[in-house]
Amino acid sequence: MDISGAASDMSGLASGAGGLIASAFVVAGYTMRTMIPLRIVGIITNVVFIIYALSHRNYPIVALHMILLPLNVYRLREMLVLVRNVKRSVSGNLSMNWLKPFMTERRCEVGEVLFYKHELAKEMFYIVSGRFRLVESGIELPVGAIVGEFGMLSPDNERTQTLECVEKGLVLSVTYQKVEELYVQNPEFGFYFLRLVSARLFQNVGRLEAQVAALSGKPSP
Amino acid sequence: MKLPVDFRLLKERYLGAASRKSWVAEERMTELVPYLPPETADIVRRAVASLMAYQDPDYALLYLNRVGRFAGPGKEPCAFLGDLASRMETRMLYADPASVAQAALAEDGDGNASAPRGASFCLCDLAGLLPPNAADTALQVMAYLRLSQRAVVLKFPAHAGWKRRWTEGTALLRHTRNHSRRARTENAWVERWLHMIDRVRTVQPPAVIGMVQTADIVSGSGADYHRDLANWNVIVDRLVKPVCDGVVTPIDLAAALRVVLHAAADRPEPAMLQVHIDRLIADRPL
Repeated sequence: MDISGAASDMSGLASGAGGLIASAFVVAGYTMRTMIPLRIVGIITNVVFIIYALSHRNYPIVALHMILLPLNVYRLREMLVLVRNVKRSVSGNLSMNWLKPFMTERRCEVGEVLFYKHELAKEMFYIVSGRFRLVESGIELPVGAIVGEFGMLSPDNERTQTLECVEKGLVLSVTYQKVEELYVQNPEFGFYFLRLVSARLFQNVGRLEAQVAALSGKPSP
Repeated sequence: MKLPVDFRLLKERYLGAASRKSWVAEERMTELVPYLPPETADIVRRAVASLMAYQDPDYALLYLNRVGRFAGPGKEPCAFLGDLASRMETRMLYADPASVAQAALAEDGDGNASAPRGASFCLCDLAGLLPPNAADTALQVMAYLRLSQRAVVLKFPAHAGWKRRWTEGTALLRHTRNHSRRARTENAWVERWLHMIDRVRTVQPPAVIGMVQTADIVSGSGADYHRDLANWNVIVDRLVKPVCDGVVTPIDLAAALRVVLHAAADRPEPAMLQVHIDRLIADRPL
Protein backbone atom coordinates (compact mmCIF):
# COMPACT_ATOMS: atom_id res chain seq x y z
CA MET A 1 0.00 0.00 0.00
CA ASP A 2 1.45 3.37 -1.05
CA ILE A 3 0.93 5.56 2.02
CA SER A 4 2.62 8.65 0.53
CA GLY A 5 0.31 8.49 -2.53
CA ALA A 6 -2.79 8.27 -0.30
CA ALA A 7 -1.57 11.21 1.81
CA SER A 8 -0.98 13.24 -1.35
CA ASP A 9 -4.54 12.41 -2.56
CA MET A 10 -5.98 13.45 0.82
CA SER A 11 -4.05 16.71 0.76
CA GLY A 12 -5.31 17.42 -2.79
CA LEU A 13 -8.88 16.69 -1.66
CA ALA A 14 -8.53 18.96 1.39
CA SER A 15 -7.08 21.69 -0.76
CA GLY A 16 -9.95 21.41 -3.24
CA ALA A 17 -12.50 21.40 -0.41
CA GLY A 18 -10.85 24.47 1.13
CA GLY A 19 -11.12 26.29 -2.20
CA LEU A 20 -14.76 25.24 -2.55
CA ILE A 21 -15.66 26.41 0.96
CA ALA A 22 -13.95 29.78 0.41
CA SER A 23 -15.78 30.19 -2.92
CA ALA A 24 -19.10 29.26 -1.27
CA PHE A 25 -18.60 32.10 1.22
CA VAL A 26 -17.93 34.55 -1.63
CA VAL A 27 -21.22 33.50 -3.27
CA ALA A 28 -23.03 33.74 0.07
CA GLY A 29 -21.64 37.26 0.52
CA TYR A 30 -23.12 38.36 -2.80
CA THR A 31 -26.57 37.08 -1.79
CA MET A 32 -26.73 39.24 1.35
CA ARG A 33 -29.24 42.09 1.15
CA THR A 34 -28.19 44.15 4.15
CA MET A 35 -24.98 45.46 5.58
CA ILE A 36 -24.46 43.60 8.89
CA PRO A 37 -24.84 40.03 7.53
CA LEU A 38 -22.76 41.07 4.50
CA ARG A 39 -19.90 42.19 6.74
CA ILE A 40 -20.08 39.04 8.91
CA VAL A 41 -19.93 36.78 5.87
CA GLY A 42 -17.17 39.01 4.49
CA ILE A 43 -15.10 38.47 7.65
CA ILE A 44 -15.58 34.67 7.52
CA THR A 45 -14.62 34.69 3.82
CA ASN A 46 -11.47 36.66 4.62
CA VAL A 47 -10.44 34.18 7.35
CA VAL A 48 -11.11 31.11 5.15
CA PHE A 49 -9.20 32.64 2.25
CA ILE A 50 -6.23 33.55 4.46
CA ILE A 51 -5.99 29.94 5.74
CA TYR A 52 -6.47 28.52 2.24
CA ALA A 53 -3.94 30.86 0.62
CA LEU A 54 -1.38 30.31 3.42
CA SER A 55 -1.59 26.55 2.87
CA HIS A 56 -0.86 27.14 -0.81
CA ARG A 57 1.79 29.80 -0.11
CA ASN A 58 -0.21 32.21 -2.27
CA TYR A 59 1.00 35.39 -0.57
CA PRO A 60 -0.70 38.05 -2.78
CA ILE A 61 -4.12 36.53 -1.85
CA VAL A 62 -3.06 36.44 1.82
CA ALA A 63 -2.07 40.13 1.61
CA LEU A 64 -5.37 41.08 -0.09
CA HIS A 65 -7.49 39.42 2.60
CA MET A 66 -5.28 40.74 5.40
CA ILE A 67 -6.23 44.22 4.13
CA LEU A 68 -9.93 43.39 3.68
CA LEU A 69 -10.34 41.72 7.10
CA PRO A 70 -9.75 44.82 9.31
CA LEU A 71 -11.82 46.90 6.87
CA ASN A 72 -14.78 44.54 7.25
CA VAL A 73 -14.32 44.43 11.05
CA TYR A 74 -14.24 48.26 11.21
CA ARG A 75 -17.39 48.68 9.08
CA LEU A 76 -19.25 45.98 11.04
CA ARG A 77 -18.35 47.64 14.32
CA GLU A 78 -19.48 51.04 12.95
CA MET A 79 -22.90 49.62 12.06
CA LEU A 80 -23.30 47.80 15.39
CA VAL A 81 -22.36 50.92 17.35
CA LEU A 82 -24.84 52.96 15.27
CA VAL A 83 -27.69 50.54 16.01
CA ARG A 84 -26.79 50.42 19.72
CA ASN A 85 -26.72 54.24 19.95
CA VAL A 86 -30.05 54.66 18.15
CA LYS A 87 -31.62 52.04 20.48
CA ARG A 88 -30.25 53.89 23.51
CA SER A 89 -31.63 57.21 22.19
CA VAL A 90 -35.10 55.71 21.74
CA SER A 91 -35.21 54.48 25.33
CA GLY A 92 -33.28 57.47 26.71
CA ASN A 93 -33.15 61.20 26.01
CA LEU A 94 -34.21 61.03 22.33
CA SER A 95 -30.98 62.76 21.29
CA MET A 96 -29.56 62.32 17.81
CA ASN A 97 -25.89 62.62 18.77
CA TRP A 98 -25.23 59.22 17.21
CA LEU A 99 -25.41 60.91 13.80
CA LYS A 100 -22.28 62.95 14.53
CA PRO A 101 -19.76 60.50 12.96
CA PHE A 102 -21.64 60.81 9.66
CA MET A 103 -21.77 64.61 9.65
CA THR A 104 -19.60 67.32 8.14
CA GLU A 105 -18.65 70.62 9.77
CA ARG A 106 -19.94 73.97 8.60
CA ARG A 107 -18.96 77.34 10.09
CA CYS A 108 -21.68 80.01 10.16
CA GLU A 109 -21.36 83.78 10.33
CA VAL A 110 -23.83 86.19 11.93
CA GLY A 111 -26.84 86.74 9.65
CA GLU A 112 -26.15 83.64 7.58
CA VAL A 113 -29.29 81.70 6.80
CA LEU A 114 -28.95 77.93 6.84
CA PHE A 115 -32.27 77.40 5.14
CA TYR A 116 -35.40 79.33 4.20
CA LYS A 117 -39.05 78.52 4.80
CA HIS A 118 -40.58 76.55 1.88
CA GLU A 119 -37.13 75.71 0.52
CA LEU A 120 -36.61 72.10 -0.53
CA ALA A 121 -35.07 70.28 2.46
CA LYS A 122 -31.99 68.19 1.75
CA GLU A 123 -30.09 68.02 5.04
CA MET A 124 -30.39 68.19 8.80
CA PHE A 125 -28.15 70.09 11.21
CA TYR A 126 -26.68 69.57 14.67
CA ILE A 127 -25.78 72.77 16.51
CA VAL A 128 -22.32 72.56 18.07
CA SER A 129 -21.75 76.19 19.06
CA GLY A 130 -23.14 79.69 18.46
CA ARG A 131 -26.74 80.88 18.51
CA PHE A 132 -29.38 80.03 15.91
CA ARG A 133 -32.93 81.31 15.68
CA LEU A 134 -36.02 80.07 13.84
CA VAL A 135 -37.13 83.35 12.26
CA GLU A 136 -40.89 82.79 11.92
CA SER A 137 -41.48 81.46 15.44
CA GLY A 138 -38.66 83.44 17.07
CA ILE A 139 -37.47 80.29 18.89
CA GLU A 140 -33.76 80.17 19.69
CA LEU A 141 -32.26 76.71 19.41
CA PRO A 142 -29.87 75.52 22.12
CA VAL A 143 -26.44 74.00 21.52
CA GLY A 144 -26.88 70.28 20.93
CA ALA A 145 -30.20 70.66 19.14
CA ILE A 146 -30.92 68.78 15.94
CA VAL A 147 -32.89 70.73 13.40
CA GLY A 148 -34.42 69.64 10.12
CA GLU A 149 -35.01 65.95 10.85
CA PHE A 150 -38.75 66.11 10.06
CA GLY A 151 -38.13 67.53 6.59
CA MET A 152 -36.87 64.12 5.54
CA LEU A 153 -40.13 62.42 6.43
CA SER A 154 -42.57 65.16 5.40
CA PRO A 155 -44.37 64.38 2.11
CA ASP A 156 -43.39 67.60 0.33
CA ASN A 157 -39.82 67.83 1.71
CA GLU A 158 -40.29 71.54 2.42
CA ARG A 159 -38.79 73.58 5.24
CA THR A 160 -41.44 74.89 7.59
CA GLN A 161 -39.29 77.68 9.11
CA THR A 162 -36.21 79.78 8.34
CA LEU A 163 -33.06 79.16 10.39
CA GLU A 164 -30.73 82.11 10.90
CA CYS A 165 -27.40 82.33 12.67
CA VAL A 166 -27.51 85.13 15.28
CA GLU A 167 -24.08 84.45 16.82
CA LYS A 168 -21.11 83.00 14.96
CA GLY A 169 -20.96 79.24 15.43
CA LEU A 170 -20.44 75.76 14.14
CA VAL A 171 -22.98 73.23 12.92
CA LEU A 172 -22.66 69.67 11.71
CA SER A 173 -24.73 68.69 8.73
CA VAL A 174 -25.78 65.39 7.22
CA THR A 175 -27.70 64.97 4.00
CA TYR A 176 -30.97 63.06 3.94
CA GLN A 177 -29.41 60.89 1.26
CA LYS A 178 -26.79 59.71 3.77
CA VAL A 179 -29.44 58.91 6.38
CA GLU A 180 -31.49 57.12 3.70
CA GLU A 181 -28.44 55.04 2.81
CA LEU A 182 -27.96 54.05 6.47
CA TYR A 183 -31.68 53.27 6.64
CA VAL A 184 -31.65 51.01 3.60
CA GLN A 185 -28.36 49.29 4.44
CA ASN A 186 -29.49 48.52 7.94
CA PRO A 187 -33.19 47.77 8.56
CA GLU A 188 -32.67 47.57 12.33
CA PHE A 189 -31.32 51.12 12.28
CA GLY A 190 -34.28 52.16 10.11
CA PHE A 191 -36.78 50.72 12.56
CA TYR A 192 -35.26 52.47 15.56
CA PHE A 193 -34.77 55.69 13.59
CA LEU A 194 -38.51 55.76 12.82
CA ARG A 195 -39.33 55.13 16.47
CA LEU A 196 -36.97 57.92 17.51
CA VAL A 197 -38.37 60.51 15.08
CA SER A 198 -41.94 59.56 16.04
CA ALA A 199 -41.05 59.89 19.73
CA ARG A 200 -39.60 63.37 19.08
CA LEU A 201 -42.76 64.29 17.18
CA PHE A 202 -44.96 63.10 20.07
CA GLN A 203 -42.75 65.06 22.46
CA ASN A 204 -43.37 68.23 20.38
CA VAL A 205 -47.12 67.53 20.28
CA GLY A 206 -47.11 67.11 24.07
CA ARG A 207 -45.24 70.40 24.51
CA LEU A 208 -47.70 72.21 22.22
CA GLU A 209 -50.67 70.73 24.09
CA ALA A 210 -49.20 71.97 27.35
CA GLN A 211 -48.70 75.45 25.84
CA VAL A 212 -52.28 75.53 24.52
CA ALA A 213 -53.55 74.40 27.91
CA ALA A 214 -51.48 77.10 29.63
CA LEU A 215 -52.84 79.78 27.26
CA SER A 216 -56.45 78.67 27.68
CA GLY A 217 -56.08 78.32 31.44
CA LYS A 218 -57.20 74.67 31.41
CA PRO A 219 -55.06 71.81 32.71
CA SER A 220 -53.54 69.71 29.95
CA PRO A 221 -55.15 66.24 29.59
CA MET B 1 -31.35 56.45 -27.66
CA LYS B 2 -33.07 54.44 -24.96
CA LEU B 3 -30.78 53.05 -22.27
CA PRO B 4 -31.26 49.49 -20.89
CA VAL B 5 -33.38 49.46 -17.73
CA ASP B 6 -30.46 48.95 -15.28
CA PHE B 7 -28.63 51.96 -16.63
CA ARG B 8 -31.82 54.01 -16.53
CA LEU B 9 -32.32 53.04 -12.88
CA LEU B 10 -28.71 54.01 -12.08
CA LYS B 11 -29.18 57.33 -13.90
CA GLU B 12 -32.37 57.96 -11.97
CA ARG B 13 -30.63 57.10 -8.69
CA TYR B 14 -27.70 59.44 -9.19
CA LEU B 15 -29.01 62.10 -11.60
CA GLY B 16 -32.70 62.19 -10.70
CA ALA B 17 -33.72 61.14 -14.20
CA ALA B 18 -37.38 60.73 -13.24
CA SER B 19 -37.90 64.47 -12.94
CA ARG B 20 -35.65 65.41 -15.86
CA LYS B 21 -38.57 64.94 -18.21
CA SER B 22 -40.50 67.89 -19.50
CA TRP B 23 -43.84 66.20 -18.73
CA VAL B 24 -43.12 66.39 -14.98
CA ALA B 25 -42.88 70.20 -15.16
CA GLU B 26 -45.83 70.38 -17.56
CA GLU B 27 -48.01 68.32 -15.19
CA ARG B 28 -47.08 70.57 -12.28
CA MET B 29 -47.98 73.60 -14.43
CA THR B 30 -51.38 72.07 -15.29
CA GLU B 31 -52.04 71.66 -11.55
CA LEU B 32 -51.02 75.24 -10.81
CA VAL B 33 -52.62 77.16 -13.69
CA PRO B 34 -56.27 76.99 -12.40
CA TYR B 35 -55.16 78.95 -9.34
CA LEU B 36 -53.43 81.70 -11.33
CA PRO B 37 -54.97 84.82 -12.90
CA PRO B 38 -54.99 84.46 -16.75
CA GLU B 39 -52.22 87.01 -17.36
CA THR B 40 -50.02 85.39 -14.68
CA ALA B 41 -50.68 81.95 -16.18
CA ASP B 42 -49.31 83.25 -19.51
CA ILE B 43 -46.20 84.60 -17.78
CA VAL B 44 -45.69 81.26 -16.04
CA ARG B 45 -46.12 79.29 -19.28
CA ARG B 46 -43.53 81.44 -21.06
CA ALA B 47 -41.19 81.23 -18.07
CA VAL B 48 -41.39 77.44 -17.95
CA ALA B 49 -40.52 77.20 -21.65
CA SER B 50 -37.56 79.58 -21.32
CA LEU B 51 -36.25 77.91 -18.13
CA MET B 52 -36.35 74.51 -19.82
CA ALA B 53 -34.32 75.92 -22.70
CA TYR B 54 -31.96 77.71 -20.30
CA GLN B 55 -31.38 74.75 -17.98
CA ASP B 56 -33.67 71.70 -17.79
CA PRO B 57 -37.20 70.63 -16.71
CA ASP B 58 -35.99 70.30 -13.10
CA TYR B 59 -35.17 73.99 -13.08
CA ALA B 60 -38.62 74.83 -14.47
CA LEU B 61 -40.11 72.61 -11.77
CA LEU B 62 -38.22 74.58 -9.12
CA TYR B 63 -39.70 77.80 -10.58
CA LEU B 64 -43.22 76.31 -10.49
CA ASN B 65 -42.78 75.14 -6.91
CA ARG B 66 -41.67 78.64 -5.95
CA VAL B 67 -44.72 80.18 -7.64
CA GLY B 68 -46.79 77.48 -5.90
CA ARG B 69 -45.82 78.94 -2.52
CA PHE B 70 -48.10 81.88 -3.27
CA ALA B 71 -50.86 80.16 -5.25
CA GLY B 72 -52.65 76.87 -4.97
CA PRO B 73 -55.47 75.10 -3.19
CA GLY B 74 -56.48 76.90 0.01
CA LYS B 75 -54.18 79.88 -0.60
CA GLU B 76 -55.34 83.48 -0.84
CA PRO B 77 -54.79 84.85 -4.37
CA CYS B 78 -51.95 87.41 -4.35
CA ALA B 79 -52.25 90.66 -6.28
CA PHE B 80 -48.48 90.74 -6.80
CA LEU B 81 -48.18 87.25 -8.28
CA GLY B 82 -47.76 88.43 -11.88
CA ASP B 83 -44.99 90.85 -10.89
CA LEU B 84 -43.32 88.17 -8.82
CA ALA B 85 -43.55 85.46 -11.52
CA SER B 86 -41.97 87.64 -14.23
CA ARG B 87 -39.21 88.93 -11.98
CA MET B 88 -38.42 85.47 -10.67
CA GLU B 89 -38.06 84.24 -14.24
CA THR B 90 -35.62 87.08 -14.97
CA ARG B 91 -33.59 86.28 -11.85
CA MET B 92 -33.50 82.56 -12.53
CA LEU B 93 -32.27 83.26 -16.08
CA TYR B 94 -29.11 84.90 -14.73
CA ALA B 95 -26.29 85.80 -17.10
CA ASP B 96 -23.26 83.53 -17.10
CA PRO B 97 -20.89 82.53 -19.95
CA ALA B 98 -23.02 79.48 -20.80
CA SER B 99 -26.21 81.54 -21.08
CA VAL B 100 -24.56 84.14 -23.34
CA ALA B 101 -23.21 81.36 -25.58
CA GLN B 102 -26.66 79.71 -25.61
CA ALA B 103 -28.23 83.01 -26.66
CA ALA B 104 -25.65 83.46 -29.46
CA LEU B 105 -26.39 79.97 -30.81
CA ALA B 106 -30.15 80.51 -30.52
CA GLU B 107 -29.88 83.79 -32.47
CA ASP B 108 -27.89 82.03 -35.18
CA GLY B 109 -30.52 79.29 -35.30
CA ASP B 110 -33.21 81.93 -35.81
CA GLY B 111 -31.17 83.30 -38.72
CA ASN B 112 -30.70 86.77 -37.26
CA ALA B 113 -27.12 86.52 -36.01
CA SER B 114 -24.98 89.56 -36.72
CA ALA B 115 -21.99 90.55 -34.60
CA PRO B 116 -20.69 88.05 -32.01
CA ARG B 117 -22.51 88.23 -28.70
CA GLY B 118 -20.33 89.31 -25.81
CA ALA B 119 -20.57 90.06 -22.14
CA SER B 120 -18.29 91.34 -19.44
CA PHE B 121 -17.60 89.09 -16.45
CA CYS B 122 -15.36 89.34 -13.43
CA LEU B 123 -12.77 86.62 -12.87
CA CYS B 124 -14.73 85.60 -9.77
CA ASP B 125 -17.71 84.86 -12.06
CA LEU B 126 -15.55 82.46 -14.05
CA ALA B 127 -14.40 80.76 -10.82
CA GLY B 128 -18.09 80.55 -9.92
CA LEU B 129 -18.57 78.07 -12.77
CA LEU B 130 -16.67 75.49 -10.69
CA PRO B 131 -18.22 73.25 -8.01
CA PRO B 132 -18.51 75.06 -4.64
CA ASN B 133 -15.45 73.54 -2.94
CA ALA B 134 -13.13 74.11 -5.90
CA ALA B 135 -14.60 77.57 -6.51
CA ASP B 136 -14.06 78.62 -2.88
CA THR B 137 -10.39 77.70 -3.10
CA ALA B 138 -10.01 79.50 -6.44
CA LEU B 139 -11.77 82.57 -5.02
CA GLN B 140 -9.46 82.63 -2.01
CA VAL B 141 -6.42 82.57 -4.30
CA MET B 142 -7.94 85.30 -6.51
CA ALA B 143 -8.76 87.44 -3.49
CA TYR B 144 -5.16 87.04 -2.27
CA LEU B 145 -3.85 88.11 -5.69
CA ARG B 146 -6.50 90.85 -5.89
CA LEU B 147 -7.78 89.49 -9.18
CA SER B 148 -11.40 88.75 -8.19
CA GLN B 149 -12.84 91.91 -9.73
CA ARG B 150 -10.64 91.88 -12.86
CA ALA B 151 -13.01 92.29 -15.83
CA VAL B 152 -12.92 89.82 -18.73
CA VAL B 153 -14.94 90.31 -21.90
CA LEU B 154 -16.02 87.05 -23.49
CA LYS B 155 -17.25 87.02 -27.08
CA PHE B 156 -19.29 84.21 -28.58
CA PRO B 157 -19.38 84.17 -32.38
CA ALA B 158 -21.96 81.83 -33.87
CA HIS B 159 -20.54 81.72 -37.43
CA ALA B 160 -19.33 78.37 -38.72
CA GLY B 161 -15.73 77.42 -37.94
CA TRP B 162 -13.60 76.89 -34.87
CA LYS B 163 -14.96 80.03 -33.20
CA ARG B 164 -18.39 78.45 -33.25
CA ARG B 165 -16.88 75.39 -31.51
CA TRP B 166 -15.79 77.68 -28.66
CA THR B 167 -19.35 79.02 -28.39
CA GLU B 168 -20.82 75.52 -28.52
CA GLY B 169 -18.32 74.28 -25.94
CA THR B 170 -19.20 77.14 -23.56
CA ALA B 171 -22.93 76.53 -24.07
CA LEU B 172 -22.35 72.93 -22.92
CA LEU B 173 -21.46 74.30 -19.49
CA ARG B 174 -25.19 74.57 -18.88
CA HIS B 175 -25.13 70.87 -18.02
CA THR B 176 -22.80 71.52 -15.07
CA ARG B 177 -24.38 74.86 -14.14
CA ASN B 178 -26.62 73.39 -11.43
CA HIS B 179 -23.60 72.03 -9.55
CA SER B 180 -21.64 75.29 -9.63
CA ARG B 181 -20.92 77.81 -6.90
CA ARG B 182 -22.77 80.48 -8.92
CA ALA B 183 -25.95 78.36 -9.02
CA ARG B 184 -25.80 77.94 -5.25
CA THR B 185 -25.35 81.70 -4.75
CA GLU B 186 -28.17 82.56 -7.15
CA ASN B 187 -30.45 80.01 -5.50
CA ALA B 188 -29.74 81.51 -2.07
CA TRP B 189 -30.41 84.99 -3.50
CA VAL B 190 -33.83 84.04 -4.91
CA GLU B 191 -34.75 82.20 -1.68
CA ARG B 192 -33.81 85.27 0.37
CA TRP B 193 -35.87 87.51 -1.90
CA LEU B 194 -38.91 85.20 -1.56
CA HIS B 195 -38.36 84.93 2.19
CA MET B 196 -38.31 88.73 2.58
CA ILE B 197 -41.45 89.03 0.41
CA ASP B 198 -43.15 86.55 2.72
CA ARG B 199 -42.07 88.46 5.83
CA VAL B 200 -43.02 91.88 4.45
CA ARG B 201 -46.39 90.44 3.47
CA THR B 202 -46.96 89.56 7.13
CA VAL B 203 -45.55 92.74 8.69
CA GLN B 204 -46.53 95.50 6.22
CA PRO B 205 -48.72 94.14 3.40
CA PRO B 206 -48.83 97.43 1.42
CA ALA B 207 -45.01 97.27 1.06
CA VAL B 208 -44.96 93.82 -0.50
CA ILE B 209 -45.05 95.09 -4.10
CA GLY B 210 -42.05 97.31 -3.30
CA MET B 211 -40.21 94.28 -1.97
CA VAL B 212 -41.06 92.35 -5.15
CA GLN B 213 -39.74 95.27 -7.22
CA THR B 214 -36.38 95.27 -5.42
CA ALA B 215 -35.41 92.47 -7.84
CA ASP B 216 -35.38 95.05 -10.64
CA ILE B 217 -32.20 96.66 -9.35
CA VAL B 218 -30.17 93.50 -10.00
CA SER B 219 -29.32 92.99 -13.66
CA GLY B 220 -26.52 92.44 -16.15
CA SER B 221 -23.21 90.75 -15.51
CA GLY B 222 -19.72 91.49 -14.26
CA ALA B 223 -18.95 94.48 -12.04
CA ASP B 224 -22.40 96.07 -12.54
CA TYR B 225 -24.08 92.89 -11.41
CA HIS B 226 -21.90 92.63 -8.30
CA ARG B 227 -22.63 96.23 -7.37
CA ASP B 228 -26.38 95.69 -7.89
CA LEU B 229 -26.31 92.61 -5.71
CA ALA B 230 -24.38 94.44 -2.98
CA ASN B 231 -26.96 97.28 -3.14
CA TRP B 232 -29.82 94.80 -2.90
CA ASN B 233 -28.25 93.23 0.19
CA VAL B 234 -27.79 96.69 1.71
CA ILE B 235 -31.51 97.44 1.19
CA VAL B 236 -32.52 94.17 2.82
CA ASP B 237 -30.00 94.25 5.67
CA ARG B 238 -30.36 97.95 6.56
CA LEU B 239 -34.02 98.58 5.82
CA VAL B 240 -36.33 95.62 5.20
CA LYS B 241 -34.97 93.10 7.72
CA PRO B 242 -34.72 95.55 10.65
CA VAL B 243 -38.32 96.65 9.98
CA CYS B 244 -39.51 93.01 9.88
CA ASP B 245 -37.51 92.17 13.02
CA GLY B 246 -38.93 95.27 14.74
CA VAL B 247 -35.48 96.57 15.70
CA VAL B 248 -36.01 100.06 14.18
CA THR B 249 -38.79 102.55 14.84
CA PRO B 250 -41.84 101.61 12.76
CA ILE B 251 -41.74 103.33 9.36
CA ASP B 252 -43.85 103.23 6.23
CA LEU B 253 -41.86 100.56 4.44
CA ALA B 254 -43.70 101.01 1.14
CA ALA B 255 -42.76 104.70 0.97
CA ALA B 256 -39.22 104.01 2.16
CA LEU B 257 -38.75 101.32 -0.48
CA ARG B 258 -39.95 103.68 -3.23
CA VAL B 259 -37.34 106.26 -2.20
CA VAL B 260 -34.56 103.71 -1.85
CA LEU B 261 -35.32 101.93 -5.14
CA HIS B 262 -35.27 105.29 -6.91
CA ALA B 263 -31.85 105.99 -5.40
CA ALA B 264 -30.57 102.50 -6.25
CA ALA B 265 -31.58 102.84 -9.91
CA ASP B 266 -28.46 104.99 -10.52
CA ARG B 267 -26.20 102.17 -9.29
CA PRO B 268 -24.57 104.10 -6.42
CA GLU B 269 -21.76 102.62 -4.32
CA PRO B 270 -23.23 100.33 -1.61
CA ALA B 271 -21.71 102.52 1.12
CA MET B 272 -23.52 105.57 -0.29
CA LEU B 273 -26.81 103.71 -0.43
CA GLN B 274 -26.28 102.59 3.15
CA VAL B 275 -25.81 106.20 4.28
CA HIS B 276 -28.94 107.16 2.34
CA ILE B 277 -31.00 104.43 4.05
CA ASP B 278 -29.64 105.26 7.53
CA ARG B 279 -30.55 108.91 7.00
CA LEU B 280 -34.01 107.92 5.77
CA ILE B 281 -34.66 105.84 8.90
CA ALA B 282 -33.28 108.54 11.22
CA ASP B 283 -35.43 111.29 9.60
CA ARG B 284 -38.67 109.35 9.97
CA PRO B 285 -41.06 110.83 12.57
CA LEU B 286 -41.98 108.46 15.39
